[in-house]
Amino acid sequence: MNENNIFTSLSSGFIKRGVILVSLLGILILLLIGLLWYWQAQVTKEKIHQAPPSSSIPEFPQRTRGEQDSLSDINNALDAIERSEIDLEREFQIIDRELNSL
Amino acid sequence: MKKLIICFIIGGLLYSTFAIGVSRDDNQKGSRVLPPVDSILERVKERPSISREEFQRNWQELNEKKERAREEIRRWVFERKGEIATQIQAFREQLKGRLKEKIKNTEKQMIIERVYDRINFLNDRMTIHYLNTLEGLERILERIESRTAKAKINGKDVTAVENAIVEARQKIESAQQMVKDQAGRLYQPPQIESEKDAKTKIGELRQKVHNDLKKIEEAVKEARKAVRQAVVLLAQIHGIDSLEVPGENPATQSVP
Repeated sequence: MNENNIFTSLSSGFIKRGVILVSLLGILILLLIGLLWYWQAQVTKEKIHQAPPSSSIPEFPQRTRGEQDSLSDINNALDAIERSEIDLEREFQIIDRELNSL
Repeated sequence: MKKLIICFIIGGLLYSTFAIGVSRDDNQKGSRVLPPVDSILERVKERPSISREEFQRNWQELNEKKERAREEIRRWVFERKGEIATQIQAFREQLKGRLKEKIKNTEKQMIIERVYDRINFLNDRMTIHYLNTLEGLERILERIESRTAKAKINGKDVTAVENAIVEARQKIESAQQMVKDQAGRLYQPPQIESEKDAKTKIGELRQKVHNDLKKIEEAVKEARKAVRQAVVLLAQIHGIDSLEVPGENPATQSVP
C-alpha cells in the first residue's frame, strides 16, 4: 500500500513537472512567434512609410564628357534612358491589389 | 483755317513718330523677356570660324552653366518635397484618427492607411524618376547640339536638326515644369465617412494621383521622342561622326 502511495505520489510529481515544463516551453514558443510577428510587422511598416533613401535615387544618367558625342554614344545613352523607364501601370497594380482586398 | 490744318498735320506726324518709337521699344522689351537659348549652336552661329580651343572653351562653359541650372531645379524639387513631407505626416495622423472613428474593422483601417502611404511614396518615387530622365535627355540633347555644331562648322546643312533640337528642348522644359508642379503637390487623405464609402473614396484619390502622373509620363515620353527624332535627323547627315572642328593638331587633340 505504502509502495503504491509512493509510486503514485512520485508519478504525479513527474507528471506535474512535465506539465509545467511543456507549458513553459509552449509559452516560450508562443513568445518567440509573437516577437517574430511583431518584428516582421515593424519591418513592413517601415518599408511602407519610408521615403526612398537618397542613395537609392541614382543621379541618372551619369555626367558625360563632351567628347562622347558620336552617334553610337548618343544612341546608347538614349537606349539606356528607355530601358530605365518605370512602368507606371505596374506600380499602380500593387495599390489596386490592396484596394481590391477592401 | 490753313494754320489749323497745318497744326493738325504736324501734330499727327509727331504723334505717329512717337507711337512708332513706343511700339519698337515694346518689341525690344519682348525680346528681352525671351532671349535666345544659349547653346553651342548659337555660339557657333555667331562665330562661324571658331577655333578648336574656342569651341572647347565654349562647350565647357555652357556645360557648367547647364549643370548649375539642373542643380537648381533638383534643389528646388527636393526642398519642396522636404516641406510637404511634414504636412503628409500630419495628414497621416488625421487619417488614422478618422479611420478609428469611422471604421470598426482594424484590418480595413490598416489597408486604407497603407494605400495612402503607397500613393504618397509612389508620387515621390515617380517624380524623382521623371526628373532624372529629363536631366538625362537634356544631357543627350547637348551632345546632339555639339555634333550638330561640328557639322555646321564643316558647312553642312543642319536646319532640320536645329529645328528638331528646338522642339525637343521645348518639350523637355515643359515636362520639367510639370515635374516641378508635381513635386509641390500635396494629396489630402480621403474624407471617409463610413465603411461603405471607404473603397470609393480612397479609389478616387488613387485615380487622381494616377491621372496626374500619367500626364507627366506622357510629357516625358514626348520629350524622349523629340530627342530621338533629332538623333534620326542628325544621322541623315553624311559622314556626321567624322566631322570635327578644324584644328592645328587633330591627331593628338581630343575635342568635345
